[in-house]
Amino acid sequence: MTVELLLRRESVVQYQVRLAALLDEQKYDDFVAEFTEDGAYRLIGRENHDRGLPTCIIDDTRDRLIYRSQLI
Amino acid sequence: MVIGELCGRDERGNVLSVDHQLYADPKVYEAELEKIFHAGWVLVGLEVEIPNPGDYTTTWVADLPVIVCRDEGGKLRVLENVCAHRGAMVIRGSGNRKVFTCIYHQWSYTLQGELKALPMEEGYHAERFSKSDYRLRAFPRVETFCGLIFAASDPRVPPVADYLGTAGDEVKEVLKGGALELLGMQRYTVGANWKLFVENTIDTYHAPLLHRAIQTNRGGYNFVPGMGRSHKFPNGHNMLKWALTGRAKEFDPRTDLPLTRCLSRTEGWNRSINLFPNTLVLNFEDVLSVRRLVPKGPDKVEMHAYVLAHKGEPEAVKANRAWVMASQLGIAGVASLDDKIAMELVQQGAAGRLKKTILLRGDIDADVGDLTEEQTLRGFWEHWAGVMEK
Repeated sequence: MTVELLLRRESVVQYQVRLAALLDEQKYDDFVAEFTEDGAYRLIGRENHDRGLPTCIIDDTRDRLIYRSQLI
Repeated sequence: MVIGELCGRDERGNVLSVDHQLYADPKVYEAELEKIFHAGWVLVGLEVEIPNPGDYTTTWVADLPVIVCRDEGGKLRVLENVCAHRGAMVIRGSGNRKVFTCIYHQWSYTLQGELKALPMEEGYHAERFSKSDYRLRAFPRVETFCGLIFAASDPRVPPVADYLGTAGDEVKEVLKGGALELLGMQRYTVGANWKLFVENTIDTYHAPLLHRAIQTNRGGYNFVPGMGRSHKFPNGHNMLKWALTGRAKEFDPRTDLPLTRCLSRTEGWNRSINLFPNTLVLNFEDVLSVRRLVPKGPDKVEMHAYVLAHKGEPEAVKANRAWVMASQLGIAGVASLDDKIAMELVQQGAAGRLKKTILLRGDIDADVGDLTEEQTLRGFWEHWAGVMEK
């Protein structure tokens, strides 16, 4: 793996850590602000994913993340 | 201790309160296994999980591992998933097979549970060993109702359709004969007694009070006195029923309750049906789901939620059913996530040994009331107390 690839991967990992930290710190508006208009937040269990079944745990658009953040 | 006496009853047998230890005492739980889960009808799966000959899935009846399968002739079988040799769990997961083979010593069983072959059989002396003495124990009664698979350990139970009675008629309205498509599963564990999960699903008093998503919803789902019905049926079955309130055309993703995005219908009924003990059939707007409860000790329960559509429905309807279920009534849903916390709070509170957690809302003597009354809960407990006193 080249140094360039390693650095790029490191920056992705750092970004994921930052997103997780926003949730841990309950900064939900800041979390939502990281999403583009057409961004999506999808969490699917392996059992459904492996069988091609559509049921997710969370299947939110940016608007639905805004909805959730208003409920907290 | 006569467990049934821990329910506070009036002279007509109406249960008005329950002792908090009924949710927490290991002795109560052990008695429930014997008198409820290893005796009468229990939901073990759905036909849609195992449509073809040779299909099987593995699950649990409370503490007991079981195989639910369809044999070569298409007949449903429910077998104890316990090898007759050394007692190992024979198989895990789900799939399609001709035999079930235990990994430990490779004893293999037919789909009917008979011991088919074992390695080095000649090492057993004929005077001490006969293959036909060994098998996977089969549940003596297995029946289906609208695609639901029930099994019973007591061979004397009545046919499942008789056991369900009036509640079965309501299930037929929801599952329409059982031609279903599986859109996925949600499986999760709640740190609470199994009865708290039943009660949560048949109690609407809490709905607009606990759930911020319902409090803040514009129109619909603000359950108030006079709305809908709370039913107590024979054999501990019960149901909440109210008119559809879906408003698909107006749905605003930034402000609206997931349930209000309804594409499958414009009128009709919503139902939350509990079939005693461990079955919950839900049809709220586009949510079509069966919840199967697997108790795991007095203070833990597994939820196996089937997310369903009727066969042949448009793709958009199916997609919406899956989305609404996950967003509203799944583990990360804006209602069921709150419910999990509330159930666990009641379980934590059980250390206080409150003698009377009350079930007094509405008309105590009526079998039907509005949604905010508690005929459902009293019906569940009255049957529970009767079974536990036997």
